[in-house]
Amino acid sequence: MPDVQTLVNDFVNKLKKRKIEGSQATAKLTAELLRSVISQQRVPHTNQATALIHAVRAIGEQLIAANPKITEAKPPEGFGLTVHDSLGVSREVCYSCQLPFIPFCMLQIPFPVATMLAVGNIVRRVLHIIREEDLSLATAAMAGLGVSVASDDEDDEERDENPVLSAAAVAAAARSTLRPPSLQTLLEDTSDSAAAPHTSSSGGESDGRTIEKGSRVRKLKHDVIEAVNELIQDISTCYEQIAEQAVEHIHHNEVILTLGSSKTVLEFLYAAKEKQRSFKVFVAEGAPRYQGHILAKELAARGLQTTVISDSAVFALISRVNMVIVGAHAVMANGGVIAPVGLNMVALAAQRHAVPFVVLAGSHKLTCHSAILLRSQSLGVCWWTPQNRQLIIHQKGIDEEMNKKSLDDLGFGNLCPLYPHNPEVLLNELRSPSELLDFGEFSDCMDSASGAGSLHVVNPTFDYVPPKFVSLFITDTGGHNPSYMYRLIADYYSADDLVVKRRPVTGS
Amino acid sequence: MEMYLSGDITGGNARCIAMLRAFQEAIKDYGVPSEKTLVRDLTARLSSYVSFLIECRPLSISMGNAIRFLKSRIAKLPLTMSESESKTSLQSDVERFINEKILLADKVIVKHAITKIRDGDVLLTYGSSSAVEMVLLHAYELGKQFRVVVVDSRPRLRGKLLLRRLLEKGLSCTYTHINAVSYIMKEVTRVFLGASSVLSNGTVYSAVGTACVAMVAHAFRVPVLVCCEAYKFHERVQHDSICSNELGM
Repeated sequence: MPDVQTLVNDFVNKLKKRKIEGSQATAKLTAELLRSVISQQRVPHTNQATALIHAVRAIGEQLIAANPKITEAKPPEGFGLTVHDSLGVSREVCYSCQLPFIPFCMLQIPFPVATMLAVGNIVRRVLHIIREEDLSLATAAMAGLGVSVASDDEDDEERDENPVLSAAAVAAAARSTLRPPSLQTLLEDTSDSAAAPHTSSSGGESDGRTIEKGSRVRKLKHDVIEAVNELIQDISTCYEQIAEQAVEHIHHNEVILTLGSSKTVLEFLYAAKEKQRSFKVFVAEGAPRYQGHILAKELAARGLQTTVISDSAVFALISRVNMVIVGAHAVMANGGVIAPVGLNMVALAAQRHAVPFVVLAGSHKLTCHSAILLRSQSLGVCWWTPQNRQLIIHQKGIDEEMNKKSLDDLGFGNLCPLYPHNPEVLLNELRSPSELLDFGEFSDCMDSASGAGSLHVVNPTFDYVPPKFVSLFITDTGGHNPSYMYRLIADYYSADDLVVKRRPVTGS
Repeated sequence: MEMYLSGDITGGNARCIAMLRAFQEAIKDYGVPSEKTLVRDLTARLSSYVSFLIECRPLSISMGNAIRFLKSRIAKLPLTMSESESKTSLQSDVERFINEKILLADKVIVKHAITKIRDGDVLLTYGSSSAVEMVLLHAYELGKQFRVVVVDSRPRLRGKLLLRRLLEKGLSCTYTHINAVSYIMKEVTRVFLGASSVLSNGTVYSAVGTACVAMVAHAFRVPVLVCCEAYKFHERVQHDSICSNELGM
């Protein structure tokens, strides 16, 4: 399918060039891409679910593998740095090679980590959807079978009397083999699956099995596309669903603290204001990107009482704050959060003063594996050595944390799917030092040095907030405890898909 | 004469020394008006200077302590002492205060603090503290092998000034902003902080953000050392940063 391939390539390119920002947009686009993949996929008569899963998995692998692995990075003569990514493209990434010397340079290679997580999550969600739909179709077929069997079998009176209920029981049993019952399925009980449209539609036509099979082929694809559409819908409406719960959490005359900028937080606070709650908002500016300024401007424009504070004043003010409400980039299986940098500090301060720390996250941000190993992304740690007037770009993820081999051994998500390993480093992205220091600001005092001094600039993008600091998650499905996250994840993802990328059989 | 508080002089010690030098000048230029005693008139004069300073920027606790010291010296002047004698005595008192309470105190702090630095340490400091800077530079001169992490924050970005001075001396530094402090804390072995004052309940009163750094260090089980001269101690008690504070412009 050449056109699917071009779509995929387009998408990958957009991700790489960071034309798509934010986990929500990425999630939505990924889902749309996968929808078109599914709709163009020709399915065979047998095992159509497997075919679809294979197709989606192949694309997913491609998307995830598109995160370029830096296989080699050494400073050549001059200041440039050649990087070979996993697509086999080698390029000069230092943009300032022409200049006589530069104190800092920026590498822009791969996707932001949050985007990566979102892509992987959606691929897994879609895979899970295919499995679910296949299963519900299978149970429906079984229900039809059940009817015919029951009519043949004379001594089973109960089944004969109530064939639909027995089908529902089969469906429920089949579903429970897929995943243990959650609160939702317990509440739904059998009535829901009995009332499901496919049960009634296929339950009637037990006579013509060949016709049914033909329709099943088309039906599976149709159902899957429907479900993916629903997912896309969910992603785009998750703000509203989260914001609806604002009144339950924000009381009159409260003081709310937030850091950085998040659309979910904005909508959440605004929804509370809409419901005639009057409260104050403190916005920590979130150095070095200062996105808090944007949020504060927006909040003030919408008529909320907003105060911008510097990040250092968080601890001073937290004793007067009633609740900390923040957005997240990704939520881990253990309830830990990958969030904008600075939130670890805020969470610590909140815990110190027993202030509730509430994280708003759409369910597409749930990350089913918490220990994906990504290479350290944009390389923002640079140092300047006066001896050879050369810039060395330091790859934190590779140099310090582990050697390359162990990275390859661990593969993608092969670690324990529940607990993040060193997420501050492995799931982080180091940004350009130019956000902290101006270009060439310190080059004058470095030159005069005797040769011993060096300057590192560290500018990470994310913080990892451990689950013990989080009081509550508010997702589009309601409020949840951090310890409940693994449960939600079991609802949204199937265990077979945790590892999207199959490890190659032969050692590369 | 006292136009120096426009913001060019920052840091508890620097401001205190500058103020005391200005008072020395003032005492030198001072002449007792007729029909007045030196003790009463000079105290009143001093109070007017102080209120001018407060208008420029609220006094730091160190400055308050220094003023109290000077006033008590004036009050204790024997009435029999002549004008010129009193003036020289006061000037030498001020000089002694600067030398003993501030400069010598710093030397002692450096002597103590240096014993806490070992080879291979990664030392973190926040903002710019003159005492900590002296400790770092002296340790470097002694040939200790260590790395410095300078954490900075808006709005003053005073860490940049410290960073520049350290780099000029040839130290290896890492520079980052306060949000990344929990990222960098893993590799840090000691945290050195300066203080504006130590209150009598043990609270350290210091530049905004210091508490954040100390808290994160505590969470990562990193020892925190506060360098503070004894003349900055104050008998007040306080347990948060809101009740009594200075707001920036």
